[in-house]
Amino acid sequence: MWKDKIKEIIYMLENSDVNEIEVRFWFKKIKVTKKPSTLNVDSSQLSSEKLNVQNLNQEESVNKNIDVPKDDSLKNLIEIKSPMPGTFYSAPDPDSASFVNIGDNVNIGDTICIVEAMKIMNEIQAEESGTIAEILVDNSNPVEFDQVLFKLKPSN
Amino acid sequence: MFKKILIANRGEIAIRIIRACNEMNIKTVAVYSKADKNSLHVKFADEAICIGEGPAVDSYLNIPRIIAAGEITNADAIHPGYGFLAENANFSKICKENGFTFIGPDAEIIDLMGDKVNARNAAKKAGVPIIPGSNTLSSVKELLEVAEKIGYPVMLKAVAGGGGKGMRVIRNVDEAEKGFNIIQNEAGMAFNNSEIYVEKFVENGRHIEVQILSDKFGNHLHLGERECSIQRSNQKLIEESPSLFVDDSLRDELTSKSLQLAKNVNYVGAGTIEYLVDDEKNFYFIEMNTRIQVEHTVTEMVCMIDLVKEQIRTYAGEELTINQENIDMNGHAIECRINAEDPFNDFIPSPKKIESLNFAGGIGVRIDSFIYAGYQIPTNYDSMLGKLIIHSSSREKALIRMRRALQETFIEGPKTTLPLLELIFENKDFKNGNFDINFLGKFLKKIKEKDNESS
Repeated sequence: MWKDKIKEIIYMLENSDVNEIEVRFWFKKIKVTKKPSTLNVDSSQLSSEKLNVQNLNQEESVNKNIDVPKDDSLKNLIEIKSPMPGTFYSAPDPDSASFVNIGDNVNIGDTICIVEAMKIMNEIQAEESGTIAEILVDNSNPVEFDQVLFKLKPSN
Repeated sequence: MFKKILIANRGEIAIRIIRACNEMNIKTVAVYSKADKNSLHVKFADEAICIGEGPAVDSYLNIPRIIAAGEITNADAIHPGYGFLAENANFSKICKENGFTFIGPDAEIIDLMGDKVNARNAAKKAGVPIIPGSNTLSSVKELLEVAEKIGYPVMLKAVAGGGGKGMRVIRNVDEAEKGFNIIQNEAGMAFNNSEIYVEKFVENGRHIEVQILSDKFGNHLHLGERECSIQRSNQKLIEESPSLFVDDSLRDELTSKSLQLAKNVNYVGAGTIEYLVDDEKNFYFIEMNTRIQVEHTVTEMVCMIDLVKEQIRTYAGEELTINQENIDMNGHAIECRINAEDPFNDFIPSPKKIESLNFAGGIGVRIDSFIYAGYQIPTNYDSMLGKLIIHSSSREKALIRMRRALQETFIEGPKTTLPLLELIFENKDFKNGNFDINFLGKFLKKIKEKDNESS
């Protein structure tokens, strides 16, 4: 949960003129600061309230842009989610090749990964045919229920 | 001591356990359902793992997913809280088999105490008085014979029962013939076990329970009694410690018998033995709860002992550091349960969004809750929002303080039990300690009648 929050804050920082963000959330505090070298603020700008508002608006528009994929091919991707908490395995055993790689075509029923829970290897199968567009979890990492594991570009 | 505890629960009890762990320097893992994404226990724990959809069978009751969450976070113990899997013998066993310490008794003890007929026999063996009754009934004919012998009214109960389900009062032969099949079916559906038995029905009893704390070295302590007679269809609403009704000699009897039972079954951890006490101060064993209870807080306030910490310590294999002699019970504590339900409309649940709220504060006031302004109460779980606990030097002073605290407390959005609680704390009989388990039922009836007259 916190990892995602920090990523989000870093992203916001990178896409704005703001140099430092401090967030208090419940009992925890996160402070993210840009490298000093990127600090390039005209002190006259700081005093202008109007300009700050403008910057905020810009920031918002940047964020809006993210939601809209630039590439049409990234549209309509199907998310394949973990049906249970457990450990994600991309291959049947450490010596074998991964079940799937980015760009591979899969058919309905193809095993695409394993989620291990209580020493039981649960094979996760593709429920639609298509092309693997993204793999979001590294081998042998823990996953939660409903966490997105793959993004699939449907074939039709 | 444990390094990391997974809490297989939600709501206020999950937070209660996280608080104890924080102070003990133990890391915590929260598990949560998708419906609880914005719940406070998820934010307070060091780690949080989503384990399933909103319905409890897919999340908080789903053993493989909870165990998997423990595996991926490297927890070394699992605390079940109360409700959900807290008294599930199979869960205790599976935790153990998968290398986790279950912060609750072994499967054998849960099985023994979870089966009402076995528990009655264990109590009898320890010299604890039990309500006259039967073992598992095989037929209506047997029910009629036993009821004839012990005298009507009697109570038909599910062997695997609990939480006020699977029980019915039978006042005559006709009701016995009808009730037998109904309760058998109800028990089968609710507990997957259709065995039933019968007990004499004690009409004007009080519900009084004794808190027990035991370690693995055979030390057993009691922490006095709790008075829990203010209840509605077997759901407690107000609890206090000590009980005005329990005098020193009754307290001696109750606590020494409770300790004997704990010794006999080699109990470990925090446990509660519940009794029904009649007008003549005869007491009868009802059941033993092998978990931390909702109302443990009133005992904590009068004894100044953190029961959850002690419970964790005993299962970590540590010896109790407290002796019976140095448990100092001071003053009087009362707990009110604040539920999201409409007390003047058959307690219909009211799972709305909390628009705004204020909890009472000041000296002698404790709040154990998990709600905040903007929180949407999920529809999947029980309606308890929190507990308001008061401590003062005497019952009189505690009553005054509770009234003050109730006036300070408001929750906007859902309907809650708060207005009913305010009315009860103005009632003369309640204030004088003049009540039994029928008090709340009668009190609600009176309110309804008044309402009908005025409208």
